[in-house]
Amino acid sequence: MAAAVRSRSGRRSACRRPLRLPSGGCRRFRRLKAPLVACASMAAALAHGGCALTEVTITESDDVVVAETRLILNLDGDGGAASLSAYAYLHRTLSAVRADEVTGATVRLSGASGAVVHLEAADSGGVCLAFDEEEPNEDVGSCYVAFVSPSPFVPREVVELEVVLADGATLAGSSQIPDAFEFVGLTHAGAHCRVEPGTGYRFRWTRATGTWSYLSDTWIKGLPEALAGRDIEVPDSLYLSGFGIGESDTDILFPGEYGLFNVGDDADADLLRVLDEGLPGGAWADVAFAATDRNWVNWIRGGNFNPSGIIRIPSVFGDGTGFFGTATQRLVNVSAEPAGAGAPPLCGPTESGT
Amino acid sequence: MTISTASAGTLLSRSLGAFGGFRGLLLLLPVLFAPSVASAQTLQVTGRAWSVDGRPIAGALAEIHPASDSTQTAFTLTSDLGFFSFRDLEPGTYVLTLTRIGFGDYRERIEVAADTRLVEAFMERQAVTLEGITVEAERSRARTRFEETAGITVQEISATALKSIPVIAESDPLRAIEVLPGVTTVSDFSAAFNVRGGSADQNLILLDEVPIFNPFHLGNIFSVFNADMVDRVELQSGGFPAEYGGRVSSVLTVASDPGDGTFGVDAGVSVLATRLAMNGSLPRDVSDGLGLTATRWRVSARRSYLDVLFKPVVDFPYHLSDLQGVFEAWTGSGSRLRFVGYTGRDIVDLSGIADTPLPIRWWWGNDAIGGSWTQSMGAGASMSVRTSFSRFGSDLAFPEVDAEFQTGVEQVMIGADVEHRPAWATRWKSGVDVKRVAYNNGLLGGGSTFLDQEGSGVEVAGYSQVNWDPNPDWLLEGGVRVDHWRPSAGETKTTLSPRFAIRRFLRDRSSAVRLAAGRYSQFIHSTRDEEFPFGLDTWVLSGAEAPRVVSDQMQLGAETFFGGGDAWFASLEGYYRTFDGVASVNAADDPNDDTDALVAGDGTAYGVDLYVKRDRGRTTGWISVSFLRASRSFPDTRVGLEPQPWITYPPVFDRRFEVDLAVRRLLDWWGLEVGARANFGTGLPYTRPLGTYRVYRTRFVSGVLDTDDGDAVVLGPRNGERYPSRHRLDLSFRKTMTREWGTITPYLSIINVYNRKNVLFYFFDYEADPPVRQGVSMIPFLPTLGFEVSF
Repeated sequence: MAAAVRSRSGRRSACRRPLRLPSGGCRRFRRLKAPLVACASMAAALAHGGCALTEVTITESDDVVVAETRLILNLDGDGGAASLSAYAYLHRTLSAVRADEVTGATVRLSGASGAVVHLEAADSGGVCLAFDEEEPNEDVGSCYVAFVSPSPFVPREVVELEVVLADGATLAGSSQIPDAFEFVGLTHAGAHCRVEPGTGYRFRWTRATGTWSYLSDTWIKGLPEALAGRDIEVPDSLYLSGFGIGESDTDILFPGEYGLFNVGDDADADLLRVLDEGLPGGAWADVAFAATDRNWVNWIRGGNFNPSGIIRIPSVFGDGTGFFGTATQRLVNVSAEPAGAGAPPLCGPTESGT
Repeated sequence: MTISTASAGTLLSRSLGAFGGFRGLLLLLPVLFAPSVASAQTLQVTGRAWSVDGRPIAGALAEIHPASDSTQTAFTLTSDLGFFSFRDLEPGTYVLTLTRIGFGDYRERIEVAADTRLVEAFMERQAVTLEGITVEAERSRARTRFEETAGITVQEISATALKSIPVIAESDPLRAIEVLPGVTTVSDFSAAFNVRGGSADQNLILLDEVPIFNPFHLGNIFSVFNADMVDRVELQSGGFPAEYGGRVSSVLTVASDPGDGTFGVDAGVSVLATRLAMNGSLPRDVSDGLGLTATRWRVSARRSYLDVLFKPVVDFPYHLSDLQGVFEAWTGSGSRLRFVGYTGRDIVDLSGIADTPLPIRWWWGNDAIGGSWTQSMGAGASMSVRTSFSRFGSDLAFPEVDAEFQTGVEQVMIGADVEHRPAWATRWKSGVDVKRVAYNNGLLGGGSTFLDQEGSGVEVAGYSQVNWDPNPDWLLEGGVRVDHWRPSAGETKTTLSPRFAIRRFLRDRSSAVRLAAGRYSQFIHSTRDEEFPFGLDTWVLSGAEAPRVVSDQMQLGAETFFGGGDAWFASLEGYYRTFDGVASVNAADDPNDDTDALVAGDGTAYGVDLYVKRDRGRTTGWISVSFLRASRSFPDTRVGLEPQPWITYPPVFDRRFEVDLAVRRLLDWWGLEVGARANFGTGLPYTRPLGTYRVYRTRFVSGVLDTDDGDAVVLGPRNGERYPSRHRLDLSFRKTMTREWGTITPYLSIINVYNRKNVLFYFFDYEADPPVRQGVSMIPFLPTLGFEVSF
């Protein structure tokens, strides 16, 4: 159980996913979202009470470039050395008369050690952005990427970001990469392990100094076959995410504590109840664990209240806004299958310790 | 002849005339620390007002004038223990008169020949319902404050005036004070208020002497105070003497009405709730058995009824209830015992309603109880011991997601004050308070605790203050207060707070100019985002998580009574305040640091308040004009830079200019009483989005971004824009019909008569073609009906 979760009795308490909603991220919140949601609903109710103001046409929005820049050190790189993945997705404030693209930019990362990495332009769809064949997003920004192995940057190194736009405008940011971490009690072969079907498994890892949040997500696949014959609507694959707040929140129950950001998605409550028990036999999942820096956390969580939308805390400044987040990351592939010849090693003890 | 009130001195003052003016200031210092200054021998009349049933009568108007010249009348109010005093009298024959609502007049010719003439004035009970006397009592209190206090700024709203101020549903003390000078509200949907550039959590709200931490029903729209229980509302907005502590911006006292001791019932129905109040006294044998000479009590219960009314058709998800009581008793020696209590709950339950988008269960409420014992010590001196307990709690549950947000704060206090008159020109008051405050804020989910903030602290405060009038032209106040705060986590803080005020009377003591300055401190904060005009206060204490607030304040003003019978009162006052240690939610707090949930900043405020009041005649009321310029400075955690730059901006309550008019008139036609409130205020600041952008979230498992719901905003300068000016007219109509068994009063209250769409929020949609600004207004045209019954 995450160390950051404290019960009033002072004992660590069992963390379970709430019933009926596809949630599972039992983690400590510092922001008190719940009353805000209630109050916002009250405001909305009042708004529907005949208080709407006359709509007024206004001037076009300011053209502000938003640079969403991520530097990820994959700790499971070839030969045990960390590899680097860097993505810069540049887009603009929304406008009906302006494209989202920010072409012709140069994006550079430079470490305190003197190493420099240049990001190259790439197709947004499928590289920087998830590509949806059924609903391709035509209004997208510009993608710049770099993949380097071994990584020229190391954990705890301070890295500077510089983005120069085609018109000479400049954006900049800085981040200190969180420390590396290791799995605790996880047995795997080539980042592949198995869990007993229908059984939860608690992943644990070592503390990564400098991280503000551990973000973990998973693609679960093979569910239609695994749940064939059960009266549950099952997608081909299911994406779920979970998190832990603070350096010391170093465990998560798989898959029971995933799904916090999936509320309202297609994921069915019945399916998530099944996943509460564990991964069904025949299903498998890729699971990522990332120790993220302050910039990443500040960008994800909301700031103060503004009625027009979410406020995000930027870490990219200059002729635009955005974030420059860094993370160290590990990936593992988990399959739900019984022991047998050719099966990967058991990931480790189950949640119940068996 | 100059005849002063109980505190003023003329003969002594004349003898000290050589020390008048600013040299008198120097005398104040030894007085502070050795208040037993030798007194000169003067002629005086001192006494005590009693009811025939043995209860000292507080707040009676005592008047005295030479038998040969009724134009030279001096007056004062009797103290809480019934004492009054006139001094510096010339030898001769005088007429002493005491009046008090509910009692017949006391009148006596007395000879004043030497030293002190003692008068024990027993007043007969009399059924007097003439509300004009209530107004007279209010006017007298104002006049007495004018004459006996040097610095404090107080505005009072009587129960009668309270009921004539148009508000939604039913009379509301917190809504009523919105029309007072220096008071700003940011939304029609919230009764929270700001005073002279202070934050809402810097107002101390008292039910008698018991603090109420979150005095709101229905998501801040109504206050918890039931107007049936209110004797008067006093807003003290500056120039506090040393006895005041705990908050830095204002003290709002809602004084309970214990009734007159006779049995009576008041009931009412509004669109909000039904209510019932009863008053009376203990049976004589019970009083005698307890050694009490007089008792009186009043209790009131209130409950909303829509859930009951609609029950056969639909489950209405909300109701409120509260219960309030006050009890007052007097001993044979004239000492007073007083208790007040309140409990109230709001309950919202959407969990059982099918297809509701927000299936919540939410309750919140206050519980408060307080008691005081005021012991007469002779010669007008008294000692008061008081204790109170107050708590607020809230529990917001989301059953479907098994999540729950809880918050609570509680305070227990005991204190004592001694008031003494060591010399004729000197009043001395000292006291000590000890209080323990505790809070907890928690977010629970799935059987786990996600947020568990809790803490406590002990505050020990002591003060000593002296009020000295060296001659008829001057009144001086000085004092020192020490607040010692020891939190359960964090640094112990001690604040030494000097207070000083000086008043110069003019125009035969009908006018005055005054100056007051002092330091004030506060050890509690609300983390509620003031830019969001809904929601409840969530309290944290100074210590490891929050700073201490220290505020230095100065105000300079002039005030005058004028018109026949002092029917008019006007004051003009300027002020300057600094706030060191104000707190704001840290949007970028470090999850690894349990102490940075709030960020400390500072602020300033200055302004001018004009207040003109008429309290005699068929048309009464007041107009207030306020100018304010407030600012707050905080490290800007939202920009993500290290070190964090400081940003200075006008807070959301920085309404630069505001005019309020509150008028009450009894019409000849049909005996109708009309109340009107008109308001104009310049726009409040807001932060305008410069643009919006699509929100993406990282999928680590695939390395790509995925489109999320909603848009994020790029903000312009913080609070750099202002909403349009607001204005509104509200009206109320009351018709009291007398029957053999009592009275019945139907009333109509109309909010926003001409349906002005004052702006609550703007929403900017930049994705539309062309971009548009939408918004939500404050309360539109809204009539409400109700009626009251008394017997």
